[in-house]
Amino acid sequence: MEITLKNVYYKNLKNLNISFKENEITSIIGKNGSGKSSILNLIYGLSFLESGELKIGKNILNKNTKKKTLTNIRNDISYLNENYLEEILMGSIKDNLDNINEERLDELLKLFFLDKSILDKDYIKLSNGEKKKMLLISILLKDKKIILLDNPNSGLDYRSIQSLVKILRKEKRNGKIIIIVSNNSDFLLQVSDNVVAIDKCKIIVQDEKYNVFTKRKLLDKCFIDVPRVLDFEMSVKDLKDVKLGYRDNVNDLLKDIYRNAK
Amino acid sequence: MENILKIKNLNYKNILKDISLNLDENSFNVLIGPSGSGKSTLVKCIVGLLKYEGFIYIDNNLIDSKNIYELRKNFGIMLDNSFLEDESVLYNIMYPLINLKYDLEIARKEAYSIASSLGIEDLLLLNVKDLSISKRKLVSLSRTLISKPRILIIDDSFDELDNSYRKKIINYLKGITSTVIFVTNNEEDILLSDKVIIINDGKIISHIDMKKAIEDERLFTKNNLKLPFLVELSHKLKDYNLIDDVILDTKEMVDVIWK
Repeated sequence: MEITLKNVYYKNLKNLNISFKENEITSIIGKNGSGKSSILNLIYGLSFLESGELKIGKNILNKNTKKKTLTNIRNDISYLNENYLEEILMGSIKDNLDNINEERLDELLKLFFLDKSILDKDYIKLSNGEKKKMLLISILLKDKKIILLDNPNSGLDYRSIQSLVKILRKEKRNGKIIIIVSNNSDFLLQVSDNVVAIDKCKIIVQDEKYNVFTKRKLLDKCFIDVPRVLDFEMSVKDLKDVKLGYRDNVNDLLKDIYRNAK
Repeated sequence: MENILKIKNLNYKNILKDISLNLDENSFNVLIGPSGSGKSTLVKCIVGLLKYEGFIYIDNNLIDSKNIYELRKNFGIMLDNSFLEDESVLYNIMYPLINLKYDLEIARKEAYSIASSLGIEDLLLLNVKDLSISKRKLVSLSRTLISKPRILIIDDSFDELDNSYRKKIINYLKGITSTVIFVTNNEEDILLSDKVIIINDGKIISHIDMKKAIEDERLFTKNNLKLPFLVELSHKLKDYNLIDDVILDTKEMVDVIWK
């Protein structure tokens, strides 16, 4: 199953041609306002595209698509976007989590370092990080084929972000299509397979993650930092002409340095 | 130097446990701790949004029910989801000064100045309802900063902002003369601070100079916190005897490893 945009014009976005495949995690980067969140809105069907074609699996959507079709498609999609989700989780968390896989819930609570007692609390009484984690957990429990995440990492502490990376990479192997919008390049480097870069409402690159996150000028245009591990590796190459290879975490980087140091 | 803010034996429900803290005037403090450790609860107690047990002093004046209104004027606080009026960005930013009966022209000038420092002057005439969450945060921050609070507390994540906005904010905050408490989950922010406050499970674990804090790897790992990248790498390279000290500059570190 695939999601494909063909010559799509939507809001300020121009002539988008992208595809998102199953068993893959694609991130979208670009400066704030570049249109990256709009792509998620479009796929979720929050409004119609102006021209072009959006294909979700066997469904082809264009500006004439009936609302009923959009609603049906949405049954297969989970969307984490704080603008829309918070209302849903108001009140007691337990009330919101009916019909769920208890075992999976326990597993997720544990991975996010939450005690089971959190289920009896009111959403409003949670800390910021806890709220975010509960939103993520409720999305993951729905187990939809397509997962759209807008800044899933914001408000999370370090070890929760690491758990999120682990969870998402496991999910994608279950045949999901996962699309993430974020400005945190360290997180995206670890979690993504492919990256789409947007500048001035147009796609400027869609490529495998190391091909995107090693291009300083490109990342500069997207107002995102070079992932720190890659930044270090590229600096070593530039300054000492020593090739360390591309890693996505400090521990692997360390091994490379040790092997290559004088 | 006097402590501008002193906290003694602060308790709040079972969330904050016997907290004591002294802040130097004009110091930049980052407040870090794992999720649920009590960071937001602590800052809400400090500014009087929650009813705590214990003692808080501003300039050695104990805050009580008689003087809280007056002493609260020393604070500027930015929390997540701060409420904004259904008005223009300009109005929202000017609001605190209008409230303090400033001359409108002066209030407008100050608003323009702050908006310009944070790179949002092009948003001034828009209604806040038309803005994305990121942009609204910048408006909220501007509104907090405009009254030039002596003690500035920021407890909102700026994770969604791209790096140009984030840099503008941090540079601005570093430049102002205020005592700052900056709550963050971003380990790189530690390097901007004068002092680091580590909280875990409702207790203050440590409040020390940043330079001292980053020398102590275990302090962070014990409390489930991440060190800034180059600091973490430094400690690991020290273990391998590839470097001797913590190095904060990439070029310097590369030169030392590959002499």
